[in-house]
Amino acid sequence: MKLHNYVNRALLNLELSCLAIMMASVAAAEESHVRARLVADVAELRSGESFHLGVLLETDPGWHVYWRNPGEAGLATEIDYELPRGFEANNLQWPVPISFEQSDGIGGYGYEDPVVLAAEVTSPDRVPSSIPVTVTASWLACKDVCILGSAKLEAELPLDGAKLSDSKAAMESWSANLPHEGDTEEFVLSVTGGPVPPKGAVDLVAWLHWKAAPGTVEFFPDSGPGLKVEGVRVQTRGALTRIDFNISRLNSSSGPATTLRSLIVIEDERGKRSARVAHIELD
Amino acid sequence: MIKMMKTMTLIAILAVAGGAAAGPGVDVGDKAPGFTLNDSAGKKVSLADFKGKVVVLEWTNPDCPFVKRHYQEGSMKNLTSAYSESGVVWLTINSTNYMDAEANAAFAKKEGIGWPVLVDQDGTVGHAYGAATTPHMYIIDTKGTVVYEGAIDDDPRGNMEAGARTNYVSQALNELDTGKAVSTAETKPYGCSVKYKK
Repeated sequence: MKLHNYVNRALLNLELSCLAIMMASVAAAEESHVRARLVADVAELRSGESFHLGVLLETDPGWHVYWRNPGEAGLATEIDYELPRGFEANNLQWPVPISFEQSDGIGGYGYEDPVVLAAEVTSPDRVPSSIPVTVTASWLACKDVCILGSAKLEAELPLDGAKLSDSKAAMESWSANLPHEGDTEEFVLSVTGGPVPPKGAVDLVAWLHWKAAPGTVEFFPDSGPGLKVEGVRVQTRGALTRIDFNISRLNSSSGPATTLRSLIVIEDERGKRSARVAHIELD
Repeated sequence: MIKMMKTMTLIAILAVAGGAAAGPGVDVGDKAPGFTLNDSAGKKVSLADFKGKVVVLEWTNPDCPFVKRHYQEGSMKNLTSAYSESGVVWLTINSTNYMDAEANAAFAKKEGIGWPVLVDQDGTVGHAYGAATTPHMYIIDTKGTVVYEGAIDDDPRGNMEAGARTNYVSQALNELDTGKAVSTAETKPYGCSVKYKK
């Protein structure tokens, strides 16, 4: 997750595939199997107020791009911002991902359906009527093979009428699919098998005691660079879910992690998935 | 009371059912699993052939953009030439299910690879080591113990400034050469998933 706030920044290196520079807000990079479009929910710039700015990514059928934790292989999608002085982008937020098998026994997390990744942008005390922004998305798209791709999207904010109303639907979907903090009204979490030692892998079990039987439960470890999580297995009987996983610590510049942030995802009667954030203690 | 018993029974059922940990694979500190594979010319190569030497295993797939970038940048060649004098053995292993000996020979020829490229088409050795990505690196010390596993460096996108990138393999080989312990023994590997046979 990198957010840059200076005006001139070198373009990312590309590997294969066509690089399409996007003017205005639409990119079509056919060989990369991903289309990227800039989206924003700001109708008018106002001093001191914040809005959201991001990218809508649409993959060809069967192709996926990756979540913040890509799983055992793959590469997290990255969004970088170039904004005028005084404007700052923070806290890139990721909608609920899906899990898939990348290869025999190798799991991954990401998106096969259109997805918006967006951050909150704060405004300075004095704002002009419009500002130029550049948002660069870079990704790894895979189906049976993998292709690196990126799109540099430039726009003037606020977006004009048609582009703004297109964005609105995308931003609403983004917002509706974000995880929210879990609360103990729904489930109580306990963990056995710990603590996680400084070196070496250990098998942990996270238990979810639900107030009401949840149906299908999915688990997504949001492990950062300091943790390796493998072998996730989820089983639910009635109101009890058991989540097995193997976890080890990795060297990280941000110091040893004390918790594993993770997503608990359940489906409602209409098949809509929603995610709650759970924090698993490691010490 | 009945509710508690029901929960305990459920826990018991799930405890019996949920025994399986992660599949086969090595951890740092394990003895490196032995193997024998044919190289791309059809010659048999065994890990045991290199007993007493430091061995680097590099999982590859020539169709993967991360592997392509490293071969374009000469990463593997640079490492093999830098360390061959100190007796380090480099073995490239290809567990891609659709690449046979001929395909590997073509890859070795195209890239001018002078060290063994081992054909693991059915994925046995890949699974034994738990190789997940291409590239995925393992370093085995002179006693046959895995002392490093993970990424080749800390720059998955290949866009760090020259000199800012840390090459974990080079770092570990330097430490082994001077009798030190490997300081960064494990990192999260990056790359495409190994395309195992289903």
